[in-house]
Amino acid sequence: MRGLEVRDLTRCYSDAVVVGPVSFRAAEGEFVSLLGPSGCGKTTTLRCIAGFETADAGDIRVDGKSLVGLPPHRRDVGLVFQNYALFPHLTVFENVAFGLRLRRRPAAEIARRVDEALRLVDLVGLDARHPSQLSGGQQQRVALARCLALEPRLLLLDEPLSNLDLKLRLQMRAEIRKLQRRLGKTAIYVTHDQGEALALSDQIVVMSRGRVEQIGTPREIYETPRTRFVADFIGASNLLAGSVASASSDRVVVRVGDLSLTSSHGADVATGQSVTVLIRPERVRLLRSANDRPASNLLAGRVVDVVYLGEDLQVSVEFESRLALTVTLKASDTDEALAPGAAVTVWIAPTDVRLLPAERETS
Amino acid sequence: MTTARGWVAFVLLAPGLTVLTLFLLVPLGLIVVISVFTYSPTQIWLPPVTTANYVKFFDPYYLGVTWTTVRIGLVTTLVCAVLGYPLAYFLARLRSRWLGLCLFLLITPLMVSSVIRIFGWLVILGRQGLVNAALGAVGFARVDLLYNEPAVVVGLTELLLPFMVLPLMTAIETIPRSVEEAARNLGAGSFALFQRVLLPLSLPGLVSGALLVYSVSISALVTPALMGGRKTRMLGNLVYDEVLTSMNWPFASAIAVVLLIVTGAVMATYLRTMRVLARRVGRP
Repeated sequence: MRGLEVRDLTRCYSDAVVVGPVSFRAAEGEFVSLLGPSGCGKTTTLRCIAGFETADAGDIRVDGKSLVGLPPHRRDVGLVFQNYALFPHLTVFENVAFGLRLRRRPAAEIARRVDEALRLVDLVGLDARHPSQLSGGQQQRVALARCLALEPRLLLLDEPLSNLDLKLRLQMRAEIRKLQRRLGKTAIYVTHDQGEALALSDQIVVMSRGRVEQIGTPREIYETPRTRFVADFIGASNLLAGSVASASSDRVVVRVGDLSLTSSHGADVATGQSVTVLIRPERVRLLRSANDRPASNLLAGRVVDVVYLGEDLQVSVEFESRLALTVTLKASDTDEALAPGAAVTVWIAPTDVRLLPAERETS
Repeated sequence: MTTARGWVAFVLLAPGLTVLTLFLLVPLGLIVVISVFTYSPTQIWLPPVTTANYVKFFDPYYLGVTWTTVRIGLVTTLVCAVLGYPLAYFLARLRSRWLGLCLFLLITPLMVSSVIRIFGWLVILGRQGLVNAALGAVGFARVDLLYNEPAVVVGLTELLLPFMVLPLMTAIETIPRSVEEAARNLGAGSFALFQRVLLPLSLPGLVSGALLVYSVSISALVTPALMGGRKTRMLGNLVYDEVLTSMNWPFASAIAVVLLIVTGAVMATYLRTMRVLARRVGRP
């Protein structure tokens, strides 16, 4: 298979701290994110691929050839570090030329490829500067160019944007995506920022406590999380504990406290089973007029808090059974009347009521 | 405001400056003065000003001792750098509770009396010592390991290694591990990593370590006296003999002045070379 294949990668630090077994694939040209909170093993996985840590078990293959046992400098995988890790004693040109010089390329070729790489990251004319004379964003571009100049088989990025401020981060995010698409390089991107992972990836590998929780496209991960952890970690979510009151192939009724919610998902649940109900805040709708009444999932409640976020409005609604939902509304769709104390009726489409296996809250 | 701060600075600096003036500058001045006086077997020195002491020094024997001294200093510095670099690297990257113990072991030679330290070497390197016994056991002839120049270098290296390792270690600690990993990721093997990244970035530590080792080894006295034998004598030994045996203080002073100039000259050349080198590896 072309691209990267990680199979049952395991790294043991002690009996208590084990990463793996982790398995995932990245087809050639695919952008795959390893997403998870700190300590979930995503960086360890990346470092095993780069060869800075030795896996205790499992296999890592690039284009079908195993990397296991190869020292880091023979792996031909480019790594972009979180703190850039530029060589402070070398100029921008020399930083980018570093790998080419080690490979003893002719001077003319080095000059050409460094120039190309700097052009790719839109960093022309700064060749003679030292890293200390560059801004964080520029340093990150140099780090990227330094990798790209070697045309590695695989591009590894270890939280490359986390040291940049928000605006620059969004800009670099778009550029990295554009660049990766254009070059068709397989990229593995480690991040704890779900927004980055959703925006950049073809596939997301969600990790938690050393394990893979779910692998899928950004849409799959967001729309159909398989575990409570994934639902909670990615995006905002209302997670409610409930039990299945009745189940048929296209309609499941779940009791949550005194409320009953209908879901159109969950063919694999049985009556009486405990489940976690996931409702995304932006999928909850506020009903104004009395004549527009769907048959199910109508809940009457009271606004307890309203947070104005500019674009959005975050409203906490409490229901009779002290059950509460966070609802995200477009600020432009609301008015001043929506204030704490106001009585509201909300509706959730059965397709937006997701059922997850019940799980004790551990994370 | 400025004057008040000036006073504080003066009060804080005064004790140190007083000590340096009284016990360094004044004696140094005295040495320079005595070095141009005339030697008298009865009164040690007499007023008539003369250049005789310096003229006497320009004699093949004394020039030879000067060259030996400089050579031992340079070789010791080199040996300390070669042995010290891996050690400094290891200690700088050591993340273990044993670091404290390792540092303690490193500076142990400085805490042991030189006489005891050197007698240790006599036991190891002597004609009937451990090394010769081992060589004899496997059928080799006994070799003279003591009372020659290499023996002095060995003794000085043991003593001065910490002076090289400690500044180097501090310099290596400031190199982020990720910079090393970046070099490896870009294809650098161990030697390229050392040559292109570690060495240039730890050069300031290497420079200070080398200066310390060189300046201390060139003024060595006890080690060459006990391990160098009759042939390997350094300028320090000459001064010692002139002061305590011949009581020729003017000549001893002249030797001391020459030693000072030689040390200064070598250091100045060294620092200049390093500055050029540093520029060449791309430092701003």
